[in-house]
Amino acid sequence: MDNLDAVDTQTFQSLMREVGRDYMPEILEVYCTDVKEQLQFAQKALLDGDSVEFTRRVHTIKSTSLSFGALAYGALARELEGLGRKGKLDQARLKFPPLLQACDSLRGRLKELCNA
Amino acid sequence: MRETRNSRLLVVEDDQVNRIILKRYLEKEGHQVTLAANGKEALELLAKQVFEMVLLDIEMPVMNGFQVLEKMTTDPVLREVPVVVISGVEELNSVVRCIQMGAEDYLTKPVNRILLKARMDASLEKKRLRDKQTTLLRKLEREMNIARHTQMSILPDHLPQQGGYSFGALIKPAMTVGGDFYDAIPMGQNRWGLVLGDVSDKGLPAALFMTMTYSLIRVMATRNLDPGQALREVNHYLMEMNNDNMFVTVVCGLLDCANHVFHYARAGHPQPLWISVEGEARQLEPHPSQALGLFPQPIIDEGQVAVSPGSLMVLYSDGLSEATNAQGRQMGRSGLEERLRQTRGQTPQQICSDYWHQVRAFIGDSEQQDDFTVLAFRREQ
Repeated sequence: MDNLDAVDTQTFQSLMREVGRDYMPEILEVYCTDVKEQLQFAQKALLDGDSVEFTRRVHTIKSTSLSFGALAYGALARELEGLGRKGKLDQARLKFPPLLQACDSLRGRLKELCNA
Repeated sequence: MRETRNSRLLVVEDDQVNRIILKRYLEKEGHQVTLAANGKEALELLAKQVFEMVLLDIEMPVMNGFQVLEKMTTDPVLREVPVVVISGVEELNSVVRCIQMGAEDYLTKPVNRILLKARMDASLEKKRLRDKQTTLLRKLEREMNIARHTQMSILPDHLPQQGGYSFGALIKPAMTVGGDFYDAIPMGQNRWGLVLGDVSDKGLPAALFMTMTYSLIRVMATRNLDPGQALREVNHYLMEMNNDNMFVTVVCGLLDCANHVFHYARAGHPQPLWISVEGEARQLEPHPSQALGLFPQPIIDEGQVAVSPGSLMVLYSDGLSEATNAQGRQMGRSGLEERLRQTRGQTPQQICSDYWHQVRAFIGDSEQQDDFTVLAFRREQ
């Protein structure tokens, strides 16, 4: 999937305005740490064949990513959540790696916007 | 809509980032926010602290939003706390289920701050109004109980103790306070003024009108007027003070226990039940009459009957004869006479209680529609 690190700046700016510019770096840090952790758990769940755990982890990634305007990243997480709910972990295994790989570049993009 | 600030809120959300964002949003609106990471934590906090609202995520580990809602709706205190559900856009079925379970409203993630504020304000305002309503209802209930106590306290606390006669009375208002009343006024040696009245409508206005009528009758009793004249005088004063077209039906009489004569006057009220010692139903002369409070010169039915040994007379309000069951059928006067034939061996007080039990059995689970009042006396043999 292309542009998984793309961020909808309007959503991002809106969030920054609502929570306060001074508060944004702290929230962003929590998000980045959390996504990394959720990804690790999701990966493990995929290996274990635990669809419930996998679904829960990508569900969390989806909802927080959308809050920051990471729409493509969130959309992929949503798709994976749907597969998890249906127990289609084989398909999820194929679609999961891009989510993992795009994490760092998304983090960079978000920090860039935060410091802009 | 009124702005709601400084409310104590509980945010239940497993995702740390969303939790922090929501906390930040809500604190900026001036609320006090407590966070819980799952349903179990939320219920523990709800057991210890008072919250005015809960923002509840549905999908959570340990205990999900459905389980929290289920616990809250079965708890008499927690079910009063409004819950706004937070869900993903694709979880509409879950939202519907939550609303069916008692949730007040919902928001989708990512939560929009303006929508959040609007839903919060609406829910908190609704809660504020509900709380106010509950407080007012409790206050009204307290005051109505005081009014009931006051109203009951003006009724005679004991019935005549008169050799050769026995008496009974029972009053059961349909609401906390009612418009029925009865009285037994000593009118000199061996003479008693017996009164039973029924004010139109029920509840507080009827109770106030009843109190006024009751007091006027008491005043007239001191003037040694005959029953018909007393009712005309009462009517005169009621007409002067009655701006709301209320009226009262009354039956009253002077019972002379020495000469065994009952001199009665009736103003729009049902005729008393009257039965001989042999169980034969008797009728007062049927004449028309009009209620008090409506006409300057009401028609009053007056008469005088001899009270034979063992005979029994029952004055009653239409809460007895017109008691209505679920099928819309009324008890009716003929049924009351028949019942009196069966129970005539009992004391007047037992007969009054029996009529009340008859009404309760007749109406079953239906609500009591009207005040019930019975006043009975018997000349012993």
